[in-house]
Amino acid sequence: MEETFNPSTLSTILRKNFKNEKTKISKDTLECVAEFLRLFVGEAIDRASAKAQIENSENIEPEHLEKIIPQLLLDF
Amino acid sequence: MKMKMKKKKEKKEEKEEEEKWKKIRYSLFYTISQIATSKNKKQFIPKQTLFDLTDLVFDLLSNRISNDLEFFANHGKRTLIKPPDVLLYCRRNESLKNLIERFIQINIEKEKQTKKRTKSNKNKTEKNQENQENEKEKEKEKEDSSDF
Repeated sequence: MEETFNPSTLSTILRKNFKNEKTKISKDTLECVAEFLRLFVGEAIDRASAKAQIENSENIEPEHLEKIIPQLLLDF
Repeated sequence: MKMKMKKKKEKKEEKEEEEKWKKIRYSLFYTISQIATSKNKKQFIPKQTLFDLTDLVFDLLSNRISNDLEFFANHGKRTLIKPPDVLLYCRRNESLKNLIERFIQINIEKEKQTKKRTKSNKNKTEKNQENQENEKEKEKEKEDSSDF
């Protein structure tokens, strides 16, 4: 099994930020959001590691993450 | 005295809220670190990077995803958010959309299979119990063989 986000965690965060209290979210949708975030995190790590390799660094430092964030947020 | 008690209660509730959000953040952090370590085995990832990534995901969830999904559902005159709303959220990224679409389809097929199984089990209860046990054993054998 691949590791994914806990649906109940996602639902508490999402529900806190809904403006209309009547808004609900189905279980399938939560699984979709979990899959989306899994892809997002994977892509972030891949891009940051590529950036770290270019700069000949063995660790993926926060600076590398900082540099890839603008394009990453445009793509997701 | 009553006022003091009330203030104490409020403080307690605030503390509980804080702890709850800390737990939620930690849950996000845990999954992110699991995904990151399974994806990347060559380079070392310091904890600070993972903390930053957690903040990023938390912000994305609470600012962008929640707002957008709610608006999409509202536009469809619904109060329940459905999987197509997530597809709409990633409309600009073609490959991401395809991946999520495939994920939804796999989920639907899985649900159908589980439904079929429960239905066939119900039919079997109408038959003799002995038959049912035999069939179940056969099914188990089939499943075991299909796994390999």
